[in-house]
Amino acid sequence: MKTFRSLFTNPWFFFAIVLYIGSLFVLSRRAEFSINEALIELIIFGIAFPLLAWLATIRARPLIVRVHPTGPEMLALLAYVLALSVYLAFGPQAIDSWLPQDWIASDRIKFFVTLGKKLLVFVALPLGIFALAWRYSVRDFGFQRDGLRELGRTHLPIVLVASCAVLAFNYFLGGAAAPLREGKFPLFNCLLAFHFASSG
Amino acid sequence: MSIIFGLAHAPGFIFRHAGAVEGLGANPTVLDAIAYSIATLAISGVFFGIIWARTKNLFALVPVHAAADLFPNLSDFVKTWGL
Repeated sequence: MKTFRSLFTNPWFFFAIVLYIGSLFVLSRRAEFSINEALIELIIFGIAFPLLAWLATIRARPLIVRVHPTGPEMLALLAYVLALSVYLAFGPQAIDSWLPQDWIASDRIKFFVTLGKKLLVFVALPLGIFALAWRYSVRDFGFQRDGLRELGRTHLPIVLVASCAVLAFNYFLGGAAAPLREGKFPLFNCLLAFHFASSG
Repeated sequence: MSIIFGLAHAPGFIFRHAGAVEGLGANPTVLDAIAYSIATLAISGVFFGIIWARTKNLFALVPVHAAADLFPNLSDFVKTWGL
């Protein structure tokens, strides 16, 4: 209950609600946009799934994170996210243009190139910046041996519940799962893809 | 943070026409791309944010994110690896 009380007294929460309502108003002018689908997504991802996650973590023991971000660190994070948004617009295509075209032509090599780009931009670079500027360690980024151990203990319920909830949502309501619903992919392919999705 | 997470996707809708496969269309205005990022992607950021806040375990988020990406990427994965 304390969590909910602090949520409803947080001014940023109300700012987010105002932004959300304003966004729906802007989008309601577009013919392609379905406000019903957006509201269903709000109910499922904004209310039902977070509630499910909260219930599944009642007994979870959170790991100890040594650092508590300061103002300058949060500003650096915001700047990195802004830089990241520019990268997402132009970066991947720019990198591809510098690589041997044989690599880009091959779907299999491109798969690993894409994986490498994601690891560099989303993991290695931010870790490098925060390690150099504020002496963050890999542990402070959430990579802890205790984390792996807790996966088999108090964090197992949330992983199982949240993964199943997301899979069920995508399977029954997602357009991307239509070929699977029609029986075009066997279970083995799904398991292989899940393995690679976890590593990428 | 969920709002920032959502907004980080807005340039992709404008420059990479990523909205073509979603409910936004291929050529949205800047305002529409920002609004769409907040109305859809920022919402899913709340779910992942709760898991992080309650566990502080990145390894708990990895399989959940993998589950979210599984079906949207399955078709390309099967095609790429000839399965």
